[in-house]
Amino acid sequence: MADLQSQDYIRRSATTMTPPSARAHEQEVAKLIDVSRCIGCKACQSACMEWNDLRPEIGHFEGSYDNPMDLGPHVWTLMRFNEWEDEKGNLEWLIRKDGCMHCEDPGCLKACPSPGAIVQYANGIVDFISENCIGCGYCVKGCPFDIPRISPVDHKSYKCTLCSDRVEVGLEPACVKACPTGAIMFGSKSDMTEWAGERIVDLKERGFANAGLYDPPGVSGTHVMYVLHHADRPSIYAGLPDNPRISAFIGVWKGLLKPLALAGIAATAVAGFLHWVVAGPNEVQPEDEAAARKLLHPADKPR
Amino acid sequence: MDPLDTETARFWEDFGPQNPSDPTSVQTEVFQLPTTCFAEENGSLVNSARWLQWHWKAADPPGEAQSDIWIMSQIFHRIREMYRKDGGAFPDPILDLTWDYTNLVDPDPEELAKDMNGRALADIKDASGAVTLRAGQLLDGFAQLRNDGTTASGCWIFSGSYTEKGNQMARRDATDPREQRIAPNWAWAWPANRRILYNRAGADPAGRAWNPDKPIIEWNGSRWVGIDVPDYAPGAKPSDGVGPFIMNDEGLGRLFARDQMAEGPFPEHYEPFESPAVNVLHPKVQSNPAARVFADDRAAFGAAPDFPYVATTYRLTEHFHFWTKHALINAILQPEEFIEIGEVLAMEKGIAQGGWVRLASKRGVIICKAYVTKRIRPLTVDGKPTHVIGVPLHWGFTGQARKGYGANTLTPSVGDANTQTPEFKAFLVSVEPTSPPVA
Repeated sequence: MADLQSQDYIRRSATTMTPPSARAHEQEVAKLIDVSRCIGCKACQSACMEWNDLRPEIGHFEGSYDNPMDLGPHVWTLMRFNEWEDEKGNLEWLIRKDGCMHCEDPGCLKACPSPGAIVQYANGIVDFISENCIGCGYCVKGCPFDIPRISPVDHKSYKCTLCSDRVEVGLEPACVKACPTGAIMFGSKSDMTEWAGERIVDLKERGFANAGLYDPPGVSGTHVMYVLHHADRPSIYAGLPDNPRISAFIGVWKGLLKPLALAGIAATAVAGFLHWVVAGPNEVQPEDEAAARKLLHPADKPR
Repeated sequence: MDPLDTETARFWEDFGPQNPSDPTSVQTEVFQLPTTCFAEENGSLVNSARWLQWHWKAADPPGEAQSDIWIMSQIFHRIREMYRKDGGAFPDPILDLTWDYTNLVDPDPEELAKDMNGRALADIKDASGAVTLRAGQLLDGFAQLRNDGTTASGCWIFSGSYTEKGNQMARRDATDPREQRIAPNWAWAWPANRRILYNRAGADPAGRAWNPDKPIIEWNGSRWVGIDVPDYAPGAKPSDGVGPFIMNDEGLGRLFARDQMAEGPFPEHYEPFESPAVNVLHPKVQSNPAARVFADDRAAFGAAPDFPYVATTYRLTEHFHFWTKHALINAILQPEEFIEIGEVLAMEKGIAQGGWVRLASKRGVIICKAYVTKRIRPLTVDGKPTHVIGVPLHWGFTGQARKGYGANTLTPSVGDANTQTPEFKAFLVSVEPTSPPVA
């Protein structure tokens, strides 16, 4: 959000300069979503729409409890419902609140070619700075969780801000405040990890032997974490990636191709300069003019 | 009068298949008067713990909406004027109605609250002749009410809610003296600001609290005292043996309702009036013989050969009854009518996920999409597989959500023998796949 400023940044897209990181002493925050306590009421979606003043279109029933049907420029969080049967035929209605995971190592930020369009604050929140966004969609490709969505209206990318405007002034995100069962908690990342540990002990005692915390190391951990009753297979929760990683393409492109491309541009400039020194400037000759005229449409010929 | 544009108010209008109508043949004239919502007016709300909590206006109402009080006052003045001019069979209650509010056309809610509380109409004297209440004074509670016309109260159980000490409902002291969720100075509880009914039962026969750490009322040798108002004669000695359940003749709590039930005294199993199964306990008495059923409604009961599946109605977490389909955000979260049907029945009937279905009972038809779910599995009832269909009920033809059929198009009219609660939770239907409606 615009209220936060560059001294809050610890990472900034497409920038070689290291941000001043003046607030690096701040605690890293995290939102903990305890899937086992969620009742699927969508109060979090409602609160997200209220706080961020977003009103997606009234849709249709499409054979699912998911409404709207997908994340979008106006849908920053979405309950995804999945009826799952285990090997013994026991049914569980898995409900996962989907949205930006605020990765410690954000693929969107790495992929972004526009300086300062994606930033990470000292508290860990990854935010999109819309005025710097050029709508190229590389963040969508860079995200291992398929979260950002480009608005067809202003061609800018949008996603959950973790209510950075609320967190900045000491409030919890709107979804956390609205949750009636305590399934969404917010605090320092260490407190949330500890709290998750207690919940996992409890779930294991209740027969969920594979209960665990989803804080995937492939993106150096996330600032939105899940307590899952089946942490051994995240993908049953409406396609939560089992082992999310930033696409290798981003690494090749940014790590290898980018310096090569820059070298190419530099080589072109050097070649041009050398040509000027050795052969002199390129000048337009009368036969060039004649050839150009032939190419023009008759109606466009100068009279 | 309603803050929302309801189906009831629009029954006469042709909304297509969800409410077909020919307004020219409807003989009822409807006046819709838009009212304020609770947040657009001062007033009180009563919760299920019997607290009357005053609330304050937070926003101006939209458009031409007016409060119930304003609308009723306008109608009252016009009716009284008509009686004054034209007379009537018995005009006295209208012509002589006390109407001494500061603003005659829009009385203040606080003045109405004082009327509910009640006041003395004449000086009230005790046995010695001393005046205890002057004429016009607000009553402290219902104990001061007289049956000789010298006091008035709009509602005796609310007496004490607005006294000479002020609006008791507006109190906001959340102090909970012993951390047992009793805050006697937060708002006001009817009757007499009593927070726990039958609170004498919290003490043993000798008058000592069963739990000494959490006493509510106890006998101090001469009176019952504690953090709550005793629901008991304050001077009744434990040795008098008065039972704590003072509203029951025997003064005791009851496990069974004895003579209070229309078909009592013991719990019994009856099948719903529409059921695919015979009552295995007593086949000759299939359903509750004391239930309220009118002859025409009985004629509209269906039977399993034509309507082989059991249906039940229920609510979704995203909506509250028929209100929130008028709210944009709720309509976004759950936009359109659907029914829920198990995978086995869907397979049998060739119903696809999200496909259109025609659900019929003997009383009506709804056409909507189906959610094919693993959550509903066939039940075995009396040895036979029985399919259940879920019918979420929030839909209608007004509001922000997409147009839908009312679930009660399908349900039977049966009133429970004691509560008159309608039997909407079990009835018989048929279901078939159908083509989407033509837009």
